[in-house]
Amino acid sequence: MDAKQVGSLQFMIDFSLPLYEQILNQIRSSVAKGEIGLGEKLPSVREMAHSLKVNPNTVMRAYQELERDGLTEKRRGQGTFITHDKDKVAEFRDDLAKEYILNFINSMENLGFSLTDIQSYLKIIVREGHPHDRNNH
Amino acid sequence: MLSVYWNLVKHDLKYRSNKNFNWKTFRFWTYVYCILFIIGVFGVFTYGSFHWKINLTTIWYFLWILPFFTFGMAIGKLKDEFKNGTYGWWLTLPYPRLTLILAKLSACAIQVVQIIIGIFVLITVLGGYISFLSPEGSMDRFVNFVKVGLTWNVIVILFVPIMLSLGLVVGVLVQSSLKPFLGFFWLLWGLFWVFFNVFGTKDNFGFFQSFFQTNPIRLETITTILTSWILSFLILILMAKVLEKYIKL
Amino acid sequence: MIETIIKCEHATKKFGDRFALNDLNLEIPKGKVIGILGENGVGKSTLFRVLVGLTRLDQGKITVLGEQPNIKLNANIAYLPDRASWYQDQTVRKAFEFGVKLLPHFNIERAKQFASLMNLDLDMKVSSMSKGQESRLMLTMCMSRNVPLIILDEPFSGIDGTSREHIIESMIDYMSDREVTILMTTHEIYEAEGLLDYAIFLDKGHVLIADEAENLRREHGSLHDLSRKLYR
Repeated sequence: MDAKQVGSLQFMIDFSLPLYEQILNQIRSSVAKGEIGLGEKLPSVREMAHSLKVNPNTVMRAYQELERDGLTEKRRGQGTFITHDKDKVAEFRDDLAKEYILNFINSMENLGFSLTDIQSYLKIIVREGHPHDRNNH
Repeated sequence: MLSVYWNLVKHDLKYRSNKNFNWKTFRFWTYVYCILFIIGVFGVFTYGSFHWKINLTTIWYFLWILPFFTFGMAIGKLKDEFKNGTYGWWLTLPYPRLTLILAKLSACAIQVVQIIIGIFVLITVLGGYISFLSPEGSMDRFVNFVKVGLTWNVIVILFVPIMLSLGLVVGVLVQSSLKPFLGFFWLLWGLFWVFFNVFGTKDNFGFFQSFFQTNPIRLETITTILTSWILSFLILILMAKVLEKYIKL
Repeated sequence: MIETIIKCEHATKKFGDRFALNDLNLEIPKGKVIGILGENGVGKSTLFRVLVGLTRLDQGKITVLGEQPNIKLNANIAYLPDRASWYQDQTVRKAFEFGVKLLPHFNIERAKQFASLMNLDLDMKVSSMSKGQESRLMLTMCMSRNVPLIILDEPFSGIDGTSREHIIESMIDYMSDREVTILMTTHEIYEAEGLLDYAIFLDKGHVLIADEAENLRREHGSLHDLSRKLYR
């Protein structure tokens, strides 16, 4: 599994997982992180499929899903662009944040921690500093 | 469709050597042997014409090998596709199998006729050489020699279709699930030659030899040739069906 | 609803005592790259030969593009036979002429592009080619046709890694430009992994698994791993 650059996007494709979801999620997170800017053009399905060595049908499916999310818009004869709508991306970032937090809470609950436990853990971590910050010192 | 047929013929006209056989290294020696053979033949006849009386027309008996050569050539043409691993391309061309084999046999026929004409020219030159060399050599004798040769050559050419068709039978049956019938074919083949050569119709000559002994333009000859053409076509249709339904890969 | 391009119903073909296809039932979806996978002798090549009319079924029924396999239908199918050779007397250029004259929907411009991608010189003679070069030429002959169905029997065999990548990329480009169904067998599943969007695993002439590649990846991991599990 190696990193592949397509335009301004970076991908890590693992062939033992569904490809469409990986492409979708990785473009989503690139948008959320701002790696690809508002109104910027996405690589064409052809280009994306060619560079990732993935079937164009798979890429197409991911692009359709992005369009349904409202993250991208198709312009006739020009290709697919990231939305200009700042609020839309912000909203999407919120959704993504919520989704990750919920996943996290879920995993914690599966381990038997309650919501209050989680809160107290979070407090400790905030007091001691973010693990990434610590590594940098 | 006609253009497809011609394109197929042109494609099949190419002599295709075996995949593992490099014709280039043998080409030189083939030429050397051909030239040596021709020199040898001329040498022997030069010597012979001074010592013995040569019946010129007997040289034409050489033509007897041509029908067998034609038969073998058709087998080889078909075998090429299978031996060289190209049959998958050939048999998936979107044209009727009859067109495919008709084109193959046409290419074969063109090549055989070229060879027959080449041999005719060569023997004519040889005959001319001998008749002017030998003491009793005369223009009349040479003209008669050429006339006989021409007639016999034309007869051989007229029998090319049936010989090609029979070659096709072997070439196709070998590759089909009907291969067991091949034994039956060889049996008929053998009986056929024995029958027509042993039981002559005229003056104790075999049936086919009688073509070459008397004036060939007779009802008997013409019907035989026409029958052979009809038979060749029927065989062709039959083999197209075999190639379609019974081919074994 | 998914359209099917090939349908097999109780397809059976026997060679002697051995079943090459054993009551095979299968519907192959249109517009996808379908991998027919399995070990040697599970009936992959036989299935392909039936599809292009080289072999006939003993029992059952197969329809391709809505028809029973027949000679005329092959105008719309590009087929790469297994263990085949190309005509030894031809050069690449001559082979393309053959394509233009005798293979319907052969696009010589694309053939030339493909050839340069495959590092094939137009004046190279087949008899002087390596096995890999010859395989690349044969694949070029298939991939240069504008047909709705391409059937490739072991397209990567004898082809080196770099050329394989080029081939896969070209197939992806081809798929991006038009609707086509590509049916292929391969032992190199690992390389074709991203290319396949439908996989059919055969064993002893019948179907073990047939599903969307994405579903299979979700349930079993990569197709390569699944194949190793199935044929251990």
